[in-house]
Amino acid sequence: MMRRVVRWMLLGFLALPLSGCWDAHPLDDQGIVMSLGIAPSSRPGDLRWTFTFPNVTLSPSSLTSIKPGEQYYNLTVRAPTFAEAVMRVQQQSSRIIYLGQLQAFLWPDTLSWRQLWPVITALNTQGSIPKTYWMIASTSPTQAVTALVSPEVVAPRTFLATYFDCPHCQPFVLGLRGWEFWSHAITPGMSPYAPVIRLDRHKVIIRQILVYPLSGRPVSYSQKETEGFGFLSGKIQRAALSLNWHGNRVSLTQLHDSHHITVRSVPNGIMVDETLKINGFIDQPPPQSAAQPSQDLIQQLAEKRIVAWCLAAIHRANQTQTDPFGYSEPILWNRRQRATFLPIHARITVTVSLKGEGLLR
Amino acid sequence: MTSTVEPIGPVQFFFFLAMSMVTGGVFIWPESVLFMAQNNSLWAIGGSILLALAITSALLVWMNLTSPGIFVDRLYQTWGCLAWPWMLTYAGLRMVVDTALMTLFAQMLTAIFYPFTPLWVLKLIILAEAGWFAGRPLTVLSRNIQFWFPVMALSFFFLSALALGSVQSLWALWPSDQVVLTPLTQAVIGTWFLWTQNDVLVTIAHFVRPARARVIRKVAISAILFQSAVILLIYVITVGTVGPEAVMSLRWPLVYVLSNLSSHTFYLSRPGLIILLTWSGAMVFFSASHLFSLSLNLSQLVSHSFRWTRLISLGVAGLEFAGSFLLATPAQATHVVLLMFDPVDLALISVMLAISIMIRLLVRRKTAPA
Repeated sequence: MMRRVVRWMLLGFLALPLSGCWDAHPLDDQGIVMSLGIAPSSRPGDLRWTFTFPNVTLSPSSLTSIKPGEQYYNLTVRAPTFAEAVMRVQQQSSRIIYLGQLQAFLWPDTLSWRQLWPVITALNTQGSIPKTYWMIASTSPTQAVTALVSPEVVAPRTFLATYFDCPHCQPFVLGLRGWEFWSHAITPGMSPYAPVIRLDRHKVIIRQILVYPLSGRPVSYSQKETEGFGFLSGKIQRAALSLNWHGNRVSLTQLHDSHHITVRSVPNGIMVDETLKINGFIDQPPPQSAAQPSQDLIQQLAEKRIVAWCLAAIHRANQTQTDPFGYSEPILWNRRQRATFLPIHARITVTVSLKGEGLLR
Repeated sequence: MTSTVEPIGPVQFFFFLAMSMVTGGVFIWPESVLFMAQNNSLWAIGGSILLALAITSALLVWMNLTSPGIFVDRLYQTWGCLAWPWMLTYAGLRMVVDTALMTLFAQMLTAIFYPFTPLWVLKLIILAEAGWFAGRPLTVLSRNIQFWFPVMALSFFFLSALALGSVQSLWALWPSDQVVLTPLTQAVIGTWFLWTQNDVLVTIAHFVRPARARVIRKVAISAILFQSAVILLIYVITVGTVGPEAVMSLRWPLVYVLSNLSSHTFYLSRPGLIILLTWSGAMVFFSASHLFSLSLNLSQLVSHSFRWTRLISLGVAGLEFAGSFLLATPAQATHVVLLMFDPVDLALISVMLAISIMIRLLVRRKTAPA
């Protein structure tokens, strides 16, 4: 009996120091960060850090009474490093900063790699921050983007996280999580890229990517080049494509692809053979065109258009010495060579198969 | 009480043996092998599996040449009084590797999951549980392992299946056609910590019923092949997901990959957290299986009985707890496992087995009728 009592006392003692009893902090004392934005500061060496928190009065019952614009609030501090920024925002908010629910990390598209990389590394080094937040470059001020709300998205979800979480909401899946961006950045042969967000009268536009070369300023891919990148790297989910057909607009929808790539080393770079098989539907057929030949011709037109976008993306990559496709990765890994840019020679074959014309004849 | 040991079946033996290898060492897998063998890593993994099979085969040959008994009994039969220094050296090395692996695990928990909980609390809880399990009769310990091993293996395979969806860098999984022998050999030796369970195999095999050499051989090889599949799977999901360079930069790549799993298919926002449960259990039973085997052998060595098993297992757990304070950083603990334990233990066990087999063959020839 005595032994049993001692055993239970020992078990009780072991349970005491467990994490829940050790480091529990009441929710009121915590500042749960939803998104983090950085921007250059007027003071050299410093950055401006914007932390977005849910409104402290937010609760399931108060959701209906709080205006969408008041669901979150921002705190901005100036600091040279991530650790100092966290300290300063803790002082400012008199709350313990909790980054375990971080949903998005934003930075301006003009920020240099030298300024961005230490922050990425700091976020990645902290074991308690899950690396599942979305990486987003922005042409608009980061504070305006973090303040973005949508009536469709209810706190504590943020609009951007909801958008990127939904692959079928995006024509091209450009969303990139923290761990993916970091692993791209650290892998030789891959230029890290991130989607660019632009605000146009409170409307969100995500149609471009920002790519970081080995040195120099970040490179913005145009919309067409980004679409070419999307096709080449298998990122299309439900893309739509409009074509002009004898003066009429023909719409192809639900485009999705499968692709096959072979990469080999050639004396002045790499030779890429990529075959794309794209399937989709004609959503809006041209008038009086149920005949098969017109469908074949529409397919050919679409193929030409997609090849042109892909080649534009490859051209942009060579011009700016960037490789967001990661074509050189296997070659550099086999050679055990550090990061270097290998010019891309590409042979792109695109086959478009249109499955039908919907319900209308 | 004269004995804490009762017979167990072959299935329990399989789970016991599989639990005593790989499970406690996956925290530094596979970045150590990648770091040393680079693009020859897949060859190194193949070499590592062959090494495990070769040492186990030698062990089974030695078992066939000696009369039934646990590890220390067979050492006695082969080496006489020299069994003492062999066993004590072996015990010392076992304590070093178990301490380092348990410290690494606790450091991983602190770095990722419990940043504010003091390290000693985590180490104490793991070792107290392991020491308590190791002090239980074999049937109790093996039944617990038999229950928990499939639960943990299934949750691991479930998470791995989710992680396979994010495998992108397939190119990194192909082995290089240019094999460089020196780093390859170093990498293979560097994986020895995964397979070091010789005393467990010989000791627990003694209590397996039916006590047939064929059953022991089959179970031992199956356990190694099962764990080979596990380390290969871990290699695929880590290297394939974040790429080899990132794996080399990470201290706990598997934890990194699994804890960043995000799935919207299931009603779990972070399914990767299941791994925390799986590994805490795996670490406890990994340590317990080693402590049990070690304390059984030491008790037999000292008193020719198993009566001191419980006390020795608690004592060894206490020593490991104290020893863990010498390993202040994960870098030190990894260094101890890879650069100190692996070459020394592998060299020792190879020499011991080679000479033991020769001694037993000579003895057998002398005693055989003319």
